[in-house]
Amino acid sequence: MKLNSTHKANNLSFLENSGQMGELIREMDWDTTTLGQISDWPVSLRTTLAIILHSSYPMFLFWGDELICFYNDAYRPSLGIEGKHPAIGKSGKEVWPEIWDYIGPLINEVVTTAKPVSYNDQLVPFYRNGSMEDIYWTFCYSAAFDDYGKVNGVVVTCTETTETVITKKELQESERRLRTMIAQAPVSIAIFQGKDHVTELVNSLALEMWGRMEDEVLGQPLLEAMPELETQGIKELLDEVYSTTKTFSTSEFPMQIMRKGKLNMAYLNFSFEPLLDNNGKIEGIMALGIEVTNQVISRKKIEESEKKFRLLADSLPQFVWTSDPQGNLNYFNQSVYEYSGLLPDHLINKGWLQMVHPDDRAMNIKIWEDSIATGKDFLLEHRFRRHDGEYRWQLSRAKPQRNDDGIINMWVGSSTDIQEQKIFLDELEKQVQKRTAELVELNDSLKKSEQRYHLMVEEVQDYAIIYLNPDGIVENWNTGAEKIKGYKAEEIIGRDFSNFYTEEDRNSGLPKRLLGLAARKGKAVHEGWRLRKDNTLFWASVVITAVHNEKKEVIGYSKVTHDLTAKKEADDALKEKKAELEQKNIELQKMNKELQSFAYISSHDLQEPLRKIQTFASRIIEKDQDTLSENGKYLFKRMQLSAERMQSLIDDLLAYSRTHHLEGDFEKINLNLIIEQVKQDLSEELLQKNAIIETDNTCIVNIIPFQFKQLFYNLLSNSLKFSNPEKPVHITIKNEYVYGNSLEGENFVDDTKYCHITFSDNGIGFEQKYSEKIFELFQRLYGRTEYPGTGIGLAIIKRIVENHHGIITAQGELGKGATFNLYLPEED
Amino acid sequence: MANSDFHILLADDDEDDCMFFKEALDELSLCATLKTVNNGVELMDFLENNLPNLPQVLFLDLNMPRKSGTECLSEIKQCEKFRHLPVIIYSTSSNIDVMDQLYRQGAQYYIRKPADFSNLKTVISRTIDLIKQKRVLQSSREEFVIQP
Repeated sequence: MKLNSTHKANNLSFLENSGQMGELIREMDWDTTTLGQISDWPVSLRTTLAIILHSSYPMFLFWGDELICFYNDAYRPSLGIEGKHPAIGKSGKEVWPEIWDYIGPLINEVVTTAKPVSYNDQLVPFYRNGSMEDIYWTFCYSAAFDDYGKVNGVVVTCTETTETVITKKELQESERRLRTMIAQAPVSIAIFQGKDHVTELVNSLALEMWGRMEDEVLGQPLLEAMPELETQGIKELLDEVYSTTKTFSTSEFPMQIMRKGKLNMAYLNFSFEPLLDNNGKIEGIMALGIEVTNQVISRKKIEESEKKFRLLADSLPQFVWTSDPQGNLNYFNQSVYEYSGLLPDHLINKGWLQMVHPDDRAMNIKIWEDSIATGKDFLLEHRFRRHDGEYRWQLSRAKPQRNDDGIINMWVGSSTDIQEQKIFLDELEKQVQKRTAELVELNDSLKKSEQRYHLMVEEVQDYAIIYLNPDGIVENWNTGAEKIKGYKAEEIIGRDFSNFYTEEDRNSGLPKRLLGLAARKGKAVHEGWRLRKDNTLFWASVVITAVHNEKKEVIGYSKVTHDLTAKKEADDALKEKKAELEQKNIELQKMNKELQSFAYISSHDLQEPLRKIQTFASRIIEKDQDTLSENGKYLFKRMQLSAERMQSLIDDLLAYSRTHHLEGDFEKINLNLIIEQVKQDLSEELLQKNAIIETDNTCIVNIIPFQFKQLFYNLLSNSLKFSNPEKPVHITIKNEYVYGNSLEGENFVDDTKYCHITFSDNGIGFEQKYSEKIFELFQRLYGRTEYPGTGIGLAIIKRIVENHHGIITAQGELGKGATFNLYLPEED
Repeated sequence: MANSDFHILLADDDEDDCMFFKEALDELSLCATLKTVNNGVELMDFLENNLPNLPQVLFLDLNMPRKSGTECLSEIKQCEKFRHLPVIIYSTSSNIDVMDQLYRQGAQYYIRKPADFSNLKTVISRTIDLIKQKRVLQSSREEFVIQP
């Protein structure tokens, strides 16, 4: 191919089939242009145009120094309906004045450097369709060469991307708005991507709910960011949604969430929504949630408190019930059901009325409706039927419960069993009525009785019965007073009661003192001399009693006086006698004591000279035996015997005087023990007389051992002394217990138990008539020469027995023997 | 007084009794010396002045002026210096209570002054024999009273 062929006939062939723009170029008159006729155009231009015009891709050409504009059909739409078209053949600057500042330099750069310049989605706004439009382009400016290889123009290859750019922008805006919306949504929103549930998006509410910062969760699998959820089933739920693409939603889901380093219980309402792509394949999950922890907790609290209330109410023995503001009962505690035997369904609304006694129903309904209408407390006593059919009285109360605005929310009522009180009250009322009637009756009889009493008081003759006012003025006077004191009623009423007292007593203030005592203690008792009207004295026994009113104030005194003059005289005489006797007794005791001490001292002191007489006598007999005449010796012997007798007399007297004293203490002792001791002391004498002493079972007796030893010594000595010389001595000592009532003799006490000791011998005995005399001091039945003795031994025995509060008697028969009976009372 | 003799002290205010005692002792012809004091105060002074050579035995009357025999016995038995001195009560009294009391106070023997002179000799002799034989300070209650 020739490069510079100038065949004019054929040089328009590049315009054939080159669309409307090709037509336009052909038909244009180019003579007026710097390019000249088409046939004169250089090959390079023609070639370039041929390429452009035959391209279905939008292309534009700036050519020559004037940058004449060419473009193809594909480019044509970009110039709009009204605007630059047709711009072919015009200079670039003329066609693009509004953007020449922008494209001019670009063209210049390409022409100068021959290097292409390209832009994507570049905003190049220009005039079309009647206005300036923002138009986006993706374009390339490349160099166009002339026939000499010199850059002589710029080929613009371009695509208008306005629509794409705008769509993209809109898309971005929409996404931005979505994100804002999510961020500002009043619910927690998070989006998890993929099967590991990586948090792709999370709003602030969600972060707050999770207790995490955004950078702690974003881009992390949820379970890694919040490990505490691992055991709480969350991952399983997410997995489920992910695999089934089905929405999951729940409410009040309890969850332990780590917040601020602490594991908190939270309650959440949330849903997991699957996010699907265009093909319906799962991409991720959107979580929407609201935390309802506070609501749940407060509801639980309310539930708890409600439960507590029910529990409390159910545990009360009283009936507790509630009603709505309209008066419909809607709750009853357990006691109601237990009492009535009815079921909740029976009682609700008006059902409870069947519990109420038919006679009380109308009243009950009326009062209840009143309370509902007025809001005033409900209070009623009425009867409820128990499950067994018994009606019992109840006191029911109900109070309205108001909210903060004072509107009634509900009514709370209770009923208490008052059956007992009611019955008690009824009974009390009956009792009061009965008592009142009784009191009226009593009052009547009291009035009668008072009249009788007055008459009686008037008529009493042995006692002066006087009524005194608080000052001691006589106000009332009876017959007895008149008789005792000599005044007639009219003479004494109105006068002071101190008139009855002696001058001495009045001066010492006795009347006032007695009234004061009666006022303080209620009663004053006194005995003393009082004056009659005729100034004679009488011995009065007086009782003054204070009379009180209901307020316990003294309103007067009753004074009862008894004339005891006769008694007083008798008493005085008796007292005198008694004092006399006492005096005599004391004198006697004194004498007795003196006697005793005389007996003791004298016998003791008498012994010494006597003993010396005896000793001197024994010295004389011993030393001067030979010088004494026979008569002298005889007389001397008689003197010695007298001295000896005196010796024994003194010894016995001494023993007798000693038995006055309770020497030694009483002792419970076996009587045989004492007897054995005495036997020991008298062993020689007993042996000498071949004596046998027989004792039976023994008595334990409460005695003074020393004295009883003396007693048995004397008894045994007596038996030995008065023994029958022809018979060996045989003594029997027996004892037994007897009661006083079985014994003869006035000195025995019936109920007292006595130890009866019998002491018998077989000696010479005595005549029964002497049975008492023998116990008297110095009494002897035989001459001294026959039986020596002082006559004191048995007196000592009697005294000892008496010291033991016992009794001794003697029985004797001459020549046969003597028996002594000792009775010792058993001490307690 | 020779050391080999048996020294006897008699405390008695009664001249006759002192005479009887001395005569009885003389007639017994024992190797014994007798010293007589006439009241309790004198007795206690004598004992005090004769320490350590106390008599072998004391015959003590009860009824004495100034200080009674009972008081003297109690002083002797409560004093460490005299406690070992055998005391023989020598009295007219035959009161058992008094005897019991004296026994409890520590008297060795009790002699009731006999009416018969020969009996007096007997009891003195018997007592001195007992004192010489026995070195214990007190007899039993049964042997307390020496009978003629």
